[in-house]
Amino acid sequence: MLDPDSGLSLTIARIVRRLQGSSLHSQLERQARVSLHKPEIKLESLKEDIKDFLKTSGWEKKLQNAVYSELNVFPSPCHPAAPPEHMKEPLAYMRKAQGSWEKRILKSLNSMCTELSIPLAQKRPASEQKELLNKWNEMGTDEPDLSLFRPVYAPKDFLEVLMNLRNPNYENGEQPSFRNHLGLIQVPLKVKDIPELKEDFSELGLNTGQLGIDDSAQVPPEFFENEHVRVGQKVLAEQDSAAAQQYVRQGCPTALRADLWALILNISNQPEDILYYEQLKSNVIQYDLLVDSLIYKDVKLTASNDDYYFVFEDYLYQVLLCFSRDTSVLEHFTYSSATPPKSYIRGKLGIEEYAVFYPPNGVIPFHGFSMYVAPLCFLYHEPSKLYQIFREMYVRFFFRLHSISSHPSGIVSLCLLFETLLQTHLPQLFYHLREIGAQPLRISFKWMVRAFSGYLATDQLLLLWDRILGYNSLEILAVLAAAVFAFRAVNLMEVTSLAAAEAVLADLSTLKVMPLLQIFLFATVT
Amino acid sequence: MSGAAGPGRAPLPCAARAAAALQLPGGAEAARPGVAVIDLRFPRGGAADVHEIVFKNFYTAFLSVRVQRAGPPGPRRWVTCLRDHRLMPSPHTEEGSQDYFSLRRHQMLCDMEQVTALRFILRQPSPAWLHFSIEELQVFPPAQKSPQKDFPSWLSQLTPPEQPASPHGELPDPEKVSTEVQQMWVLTEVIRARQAAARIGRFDVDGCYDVNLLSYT
Repeated sequence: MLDPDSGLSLTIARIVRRLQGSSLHSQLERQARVSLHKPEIKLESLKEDIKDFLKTSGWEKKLQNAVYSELNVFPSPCHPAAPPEHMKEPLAYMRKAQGSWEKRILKSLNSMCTELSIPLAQKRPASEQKELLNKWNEMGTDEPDLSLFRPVYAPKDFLEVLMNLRNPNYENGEQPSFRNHLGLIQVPLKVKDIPELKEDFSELGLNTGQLGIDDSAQVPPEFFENEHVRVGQKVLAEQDSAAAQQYVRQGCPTALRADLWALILNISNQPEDILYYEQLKSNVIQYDLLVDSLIYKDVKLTASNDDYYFVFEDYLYQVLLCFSRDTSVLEHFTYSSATPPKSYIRGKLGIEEYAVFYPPNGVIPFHGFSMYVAPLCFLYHEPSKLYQIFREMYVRFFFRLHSISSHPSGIVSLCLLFETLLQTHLPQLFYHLREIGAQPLRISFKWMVRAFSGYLATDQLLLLWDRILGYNSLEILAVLAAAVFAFRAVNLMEVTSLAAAEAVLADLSTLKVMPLLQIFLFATVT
Repeated sequence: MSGAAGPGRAPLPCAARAAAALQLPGGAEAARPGVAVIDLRFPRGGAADVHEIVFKNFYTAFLSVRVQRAGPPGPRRWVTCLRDHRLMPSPHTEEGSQDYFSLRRHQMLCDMEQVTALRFILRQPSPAWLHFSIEELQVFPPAQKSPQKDFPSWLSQLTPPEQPASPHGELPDPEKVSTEVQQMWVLTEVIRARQAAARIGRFDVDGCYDVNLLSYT
């Protein structure tokens, strides 16, 4: 454990190192140099005058937003003695489990490659490049033969791996005892209970106005909605990330949501960002990757079949194909428990100068991956901005949903949190479902892995993702899953099989997210 | 394994005996008492000043440290310098179970000069864990003053609150002006000396991305 002072200077040093050489840094330098010509900058108080100038011209706020973004994304610094893998994941047995899981995925991808005799990557011939460039905005009209492709894995395969996760130093005796959890997850991670969650999510309380509850037709807008919109406009005018993050905890007005999320994620869509996206697009045109077919297949299987999202099919290709080629995503592997797959250029096996990551961003898509992007298409229509928002959401949140780690927002902790909440507050329901062979996690796992995308109605989903951004944590997914079970508890007590339980919980599209969360956290008798 | 040695810091050589569990007298079968002791002595009976102790935890919940100091001849006393330091906030769960920890001089209850032996008393009250210990134990002497080659120290500290502006009409202090300008110059030099962290973004090697199958190592 670091003591506060050295932890702070390590954090400051890390942030300075990361922001050096960034475009914000060169812009600040340029602004400072330009300001030297201004009459109010005097030599004897050079430092303070330039600082004042940067403050009044709004550049200090941009720097604050960048620093705040870094603090949110990167975990607090590790002890200097800790090796880099400790920052990825402190527990050795989880690192090992993640390594074996990744090996399985690689084997699966390799065998698909050899069976279908399709190379992992190949350069497109010039004619094909031209054709793709012409068709860039309507790739959805393409109907390639994808019947031989299968997704590398689906959420239920991942659930099997998590169920078998064991700590070798934990007393996993055969005798039932307090140590054996009654649910599917058997690792003793620390999860919050309802009093702690009430404190963390205090802005969702009964006495605080919420969008999703207090903006319904029956409530006059003067009570809450008008004032909330006014505050939101003010936050946007101030361009303050931290204030925006606090604001969205009570929900975003629909008109302001796109800008507020961009402010929180510190996305400004500068010309160099647009250029970067265009470069990724040219990489897509030049190279054909095997994962492209996996992406096509996933979009066709999931988003194209969804009533809300099928109109965005073309956008999804434009984002996901570029995402696969974005090497800046590799940075998130310093704090993710996952490791990007490695390969060598043909003929140069084992030579480190010819080692590359495959796919270039290190992320192999699974069944349902495109659903992370689909809801964002409602907010952003410009491809480069949509792309940046998705990339930032992925490296902040979504990567935790498909890798094995002990992080409180990791999928293992979310599963354990869900099971613990259900067991503690609905013990009869939990016992009944367990007895009929319908472990609750088997049903709710797919909701949490996809962050409820494709299961809730879109407006409700966006209200939920407001809170994910506002609290910078995915724990709310587990709380909502438990709240859904609590809501349908009466029906669930009457079912007698897993299939019937699935049927009761098959359709969540009519649910209202915020009342469910509020009742479960604040209005349930404990 | 990366050492925790900063500039001018090397761990003191010492011999640590393996963790010995507490045994009750007359106890027949091997019980799991939840208390273990690690003794650490310096070679050849030497003594040293201890400034920092660094270790990796392995499922120990509480740690107490006692030291024996070189002193007047006679029976040596053990003095407690750290009492029940909490390593795992919740001993039944994983938090803090495999983290790295530092114990510094200012956390100790007694002087740490001329220490001849250290005794680490590990406690793990939860019966959930099969083994517990601490690993990679390193003891550091007080650091020598070494010039900071990395960042200038003021760059990594928070700036103190702004001083009120000097009254009007006074000429600026030439010393102050020259130090300010010099600081700005140092800052620009440091920045210029660093490589830009700009990302190149190419994923292929020399225009070729013809890859083999994925490797498993």
